Amino acid sequence: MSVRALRVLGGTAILLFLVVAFTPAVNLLSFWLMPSRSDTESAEAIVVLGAGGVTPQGALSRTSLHGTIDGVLLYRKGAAPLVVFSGSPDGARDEATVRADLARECGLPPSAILTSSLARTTREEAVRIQSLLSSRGIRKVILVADGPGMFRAVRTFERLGFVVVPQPSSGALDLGGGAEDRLNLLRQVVSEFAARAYYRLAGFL
Amino acid sequence: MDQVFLLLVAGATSAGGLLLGAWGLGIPRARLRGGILRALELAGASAVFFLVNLVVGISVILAVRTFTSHFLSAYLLNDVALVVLSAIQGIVFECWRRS
Repeated sequence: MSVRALRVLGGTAILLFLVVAFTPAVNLLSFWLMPSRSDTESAEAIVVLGAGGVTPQGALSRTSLHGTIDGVLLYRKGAAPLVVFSGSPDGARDEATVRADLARECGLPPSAILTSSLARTTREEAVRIQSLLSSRGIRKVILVADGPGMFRAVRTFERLGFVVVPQPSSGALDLGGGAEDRLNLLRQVVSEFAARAYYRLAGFL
Repeated sequence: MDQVFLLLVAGATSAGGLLLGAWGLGIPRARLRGGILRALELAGASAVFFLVNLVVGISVILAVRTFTSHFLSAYLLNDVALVVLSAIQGIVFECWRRS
C-alpha cells in the first residue's frame, strides 16, 4: 500500500473517530436502524430476546435486565398473556432462567412464563421459540430486543411465520451520551451491519 | 458538555506540546506538517491491521462454526482491545518499514 493511500486511510479513520465521538451522528444512525415502537398493540405472547447474558457474578447484565423489565411491564399492561424469556446458555448462570426468576419475583404467575435457553444466535432463538409457541398455536408476538439488532430480529421471526410487533428497549431518540457511549454504539451498529450481511447471505432474512 | 471538555483538554495540551516543541526543544515549526503526515501514515497502517484483524477473525469464527461442533460468538471481535492491538501492530509495522 502506498504512503499516500495510508495517509488518506489514516485521515479518514481519525475523521470518522471525531465525527462518531463528538457529534450525535451515530445516535441518529442507530435510531434510523430501529423499527418504530408500538405501545398499544397486543399479541399472543411477549418474546424477550437474549441480550448481554449474565455477569460472572450470576446477575443479569444491564441490557438483559432492561429487556426483562420491559417484558414484565408489557405483561402487567395486558399486552399478552404469556412471556417467553430467551437467553444465552453461556455464563455463570442461564440467562433465561435468571430472567424468569426475576419475573416471578415481580409477580408474574409461573404459568405465564416460558424459557428458551439453548439458542446462541438470533436465528437459533427464532427457531427454538417457534417450536415452543407453534404447539400453542401462537403466531403474533411482541418482540423485545435491544439496540440496532431489532430490525434483523423482526425479519428473522417474520421469515419463520410470526406476525411481529417490535418493541425496542430504547424506542426514543437519544442524542446524548459521552464519547465512549457513542463509540460503543458505533461498535453495535457496525456489528449489526455485519450480522445483517451474514443473515442475508445465509437466507435468514 | 463532556465531549467539549475532552476536546478542550486535548486542545490545550496540543497547544502546550506545540509551544514546548517550538520554543523549549527548538524543533523547526516547518517540520510539523511532516509530523502530521507521518502520524496519518501510522493511523492508516493501524486501520489496515484493524480491518485485516476483523476479516481474519470473522473467517475463523465462521470456519469453526461450519467445520466443527464448537460455537464461537461473533461478539468476541466486538472488543475495544482489538482497536488497541491493531494500533500497536500498525505503529510497529510502520516503524519497522521506515527503519
